[in-house]
Amino acid sequence: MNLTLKVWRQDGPDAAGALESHTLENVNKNSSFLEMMDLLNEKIMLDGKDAIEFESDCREGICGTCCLVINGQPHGKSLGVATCQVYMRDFKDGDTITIEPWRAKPFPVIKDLVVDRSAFDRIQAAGGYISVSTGPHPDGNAIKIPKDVSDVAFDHAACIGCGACVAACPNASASLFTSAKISQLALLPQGKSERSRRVKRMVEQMDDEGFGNCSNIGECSAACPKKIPLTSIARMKREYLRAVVSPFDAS
Amino acid sequence: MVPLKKALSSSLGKKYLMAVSGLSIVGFLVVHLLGNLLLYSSDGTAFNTYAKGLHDLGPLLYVAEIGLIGIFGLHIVLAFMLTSKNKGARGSKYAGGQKSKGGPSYYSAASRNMIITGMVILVFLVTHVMHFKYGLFSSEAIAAKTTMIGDESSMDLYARVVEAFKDPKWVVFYVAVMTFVGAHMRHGFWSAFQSLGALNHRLEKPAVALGLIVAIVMAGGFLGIPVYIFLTQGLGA
Repeated sequence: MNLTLKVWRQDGPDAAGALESHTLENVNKNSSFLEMMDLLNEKIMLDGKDAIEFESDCREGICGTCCLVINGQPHGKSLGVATCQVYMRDFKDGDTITIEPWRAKPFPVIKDLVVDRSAFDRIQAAGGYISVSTGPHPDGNAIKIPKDVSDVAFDHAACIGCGACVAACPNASASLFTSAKISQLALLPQGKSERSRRVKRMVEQMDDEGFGNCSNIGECSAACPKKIPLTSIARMKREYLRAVVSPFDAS
Repeated sequence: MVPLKKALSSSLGKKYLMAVSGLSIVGFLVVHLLGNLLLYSSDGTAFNTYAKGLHDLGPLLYVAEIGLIGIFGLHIVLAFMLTSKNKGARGSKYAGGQKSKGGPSYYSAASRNMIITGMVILVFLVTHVMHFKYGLFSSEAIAAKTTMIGDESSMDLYARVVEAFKDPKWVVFYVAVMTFVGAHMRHGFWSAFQSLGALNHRLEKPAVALGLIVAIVMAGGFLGIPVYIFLTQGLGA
């Protein structure tokens, strides 16, 4: 298949960017989107120009590194996939594809399609952990966790922190990411002793990073490669209200 | 523990206040609509008696009015604060535009344009109060007209309403604005429960469906009044 690609090119965080047009011929429809990008870069480099910078790592949908907005949709049009799981058979011969980076103030463009997502790391570091004592390993199954609770906790633990929720949200809100991390830990007994402090600090960090507010539009959940549901954000709101009325500093 | 002041100024806190003030406004609108249903009776006495009853509350009415101004004011001020942060957070827009992925998303004209529908409603609110409370757009004779309720003379609010809705311009204005009210409530009603953390995987879909019903019933109820008066008294006369 033959394609016209409009790719965002930007030299640095403060440089002005623009869409640049390229054509690519004989693309195999069974190749992945990122393989198509690799082909495009080979062509660009053979022409003696700078390759397009984009991120990828595992290329199997579990690392959260790849992040492209394809035709105005983070990770393309399909639900529950990362950019690396998008295949060229989703497109038609002669298509024009627009490729842009995540767009959010707290995710400044480093170069071309690569953005700095360390704001997520700072939210995580603010409280997205469980403090553990060193020492003997506790007995397996010593702490009982109902199956449905562990299932929901695991569903939230599936968040790979790719940032598609922010890219898709019209307000560039990080609520789905933050709430997934809060939910995962607050649901489990091991996470309960620090739940008030956790939600307080993580929400504070999320606000300080400059992300927008949640308007309950739910586009985040549609863009999420791990299908984290919008109810995760409702849980974060409950956790926060609970922390307001809690008499304890940490829990 | 999160100090209350800090909690209320956080992004989540502002949304709690937005939700509570929004739901309070819905509560007010329900009472307002129930009272206005008296306008469907073509004898104005019932409506004028109701209006006089409210007026006779005296100081209590002022307390209620100040409360309403406070609730509306909070909702409006927060709306501008939230929107300005939201617009700033995107930074530069998507050069190729953005498209919804569908699926579980509630991305729609209603959910995307709450600030626009809200601002239209704000302009309407000022016009509406000036019109029917202060008689600003009524003819002099109608604005000064009184009627007898029992042995007491009272303002003829029914005449003021009927005069307005015999005029197709006002009917079109009210019908148009009520569709904006409907759109605002379609996203706002269920959204308030989500913002307060009251929804889970079982309650989300029913809440969204209830939001649609509430929006249609409320907007339809209000919108029907000018249309009914125009059809029965505007065209017929």
